[in-house]
Amino acid sequence: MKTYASRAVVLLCLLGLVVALQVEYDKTAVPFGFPQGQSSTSPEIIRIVDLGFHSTVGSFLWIGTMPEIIDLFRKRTEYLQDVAFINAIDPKLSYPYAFSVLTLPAIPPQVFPDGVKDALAIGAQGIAQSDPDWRIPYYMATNYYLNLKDQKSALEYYDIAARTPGVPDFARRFATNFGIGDNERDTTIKLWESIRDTTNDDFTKARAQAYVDRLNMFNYLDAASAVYKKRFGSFPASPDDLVAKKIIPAVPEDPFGYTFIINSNGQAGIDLTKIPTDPQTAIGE
Amino acid sequence: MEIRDKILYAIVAFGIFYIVLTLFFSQLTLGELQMTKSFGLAGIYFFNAIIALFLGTTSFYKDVDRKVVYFLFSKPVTRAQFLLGKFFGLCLVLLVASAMLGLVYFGIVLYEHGGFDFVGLLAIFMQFLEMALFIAFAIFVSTFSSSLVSIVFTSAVFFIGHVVSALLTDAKAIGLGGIQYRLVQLIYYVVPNLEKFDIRDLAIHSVPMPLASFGLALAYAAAYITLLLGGAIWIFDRKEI
Repeated sequence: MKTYASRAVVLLCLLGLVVALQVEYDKTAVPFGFPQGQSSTSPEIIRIVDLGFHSTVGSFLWIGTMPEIIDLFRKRTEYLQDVAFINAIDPKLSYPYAFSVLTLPAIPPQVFPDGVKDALAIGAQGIAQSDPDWRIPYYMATNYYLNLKDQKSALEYYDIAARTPGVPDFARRFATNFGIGDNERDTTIKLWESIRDTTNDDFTKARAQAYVDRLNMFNYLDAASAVYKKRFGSFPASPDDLVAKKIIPAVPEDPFGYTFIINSNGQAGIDLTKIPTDPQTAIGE
Repeated sequence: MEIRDKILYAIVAFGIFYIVLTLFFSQLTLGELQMTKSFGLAGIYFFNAIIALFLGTTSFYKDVDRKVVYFLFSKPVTRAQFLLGKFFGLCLVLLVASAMLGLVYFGIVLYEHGGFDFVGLLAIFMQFLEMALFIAFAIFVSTFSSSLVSIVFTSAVFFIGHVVSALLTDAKAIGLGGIQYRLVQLIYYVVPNLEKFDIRDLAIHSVPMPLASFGLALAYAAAYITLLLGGAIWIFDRKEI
């Protein structure tokens, strides 16, 4: 018994010595020399040795990287390097792009002045590389509109969001109908006309023309509604009333599939309860 | 015999536990489907690989070491039948393990996102093909070496099989030429190229797999498994036990 106890003590002492030596070694070890926040491994090496687990490795690293967004409030920018690293390992992993586009502009510019710029750069990269994810263009459009007051870019990115596979109805409805209000409709028409006239891309040209046509339909119905009021003293209850009274020959067909209505103030709008089953993503193809 | 092995049950149980844990992982990223699929499919692959390595490298050796083969060969059973039976038996065990892990995975995807992951099913099937090839290789090596050597060989082929594509690409990129490049090409074409069975990333990102690639991968697996089992039978027939 005494022998066992003494052996145990010796083993414990040796274990303690090992731990102490490690602690001392760590104090004397020369730093490996990688700048803070940069990995010693390149994404290419990881992609070679991860046995095909690119997406899993990217997802695993992302779990650790997400909380680093908080560090940007302390002016530490490891988050951006790590997102770039993850995107290089699995360029199709869309969540890091979407999360960055949403959160980076929310950091106060006094602590992180490039938030919007970096968010848009990451978002553009995400649209080019990742899985189709409506959130990336949707958040980018919101950034363009709210932070940069760039309505033209906002329109373009809302359009991308509206035709991204998997976009939920609420987002598609908002994105497609962005800027249709009568107070901003003329500006929106001019912006879509400008996009149509300056792009060399036939697809974008056709989409822009569809938006212009649609916005003109709103103006057309507004004007017809005003004529109706003049003749009958009240606004029509629906666009069908305009046809019934022969003010217009037929209710125009929305190229994006929504149903036109006439609001109580006589302005044309869309029926929010009827979501088109066909999102009209084929326009321009 | 293999299904009586308690280690097998432990691996499957741990695999199921891990796949259930993916619920937690996906919650860490606010319930992203990509994360659930990514960790789930990787878990099924990883635990199947452990099972394949464990069974493939030890099963044959155990039968020889425990003299089970003497009993078997006293019956009207040929050596070829024994090896083929071993291969298909191990594949069946692996299929059952894949099905169990897969059921948990599909249940989680259904619970989290309300849909069946059809591409995930294809990815699991491709993983199963890779593991079948892996088992065939382990049996082949076991016919002329010890269990330990078989583990080392099979693990090495598992690793090399996944890096050969990158090896060839890099050899081209750095301008390797002459005999060195030919050597890399030889490795690329001779060593089992396992990358073609990895469609997890396609499944996770919902990228369609060309039918031709699927058919060729299937044919590649069948051809290579036949080659390995043929070689194993040839060696085993000449072996004195």
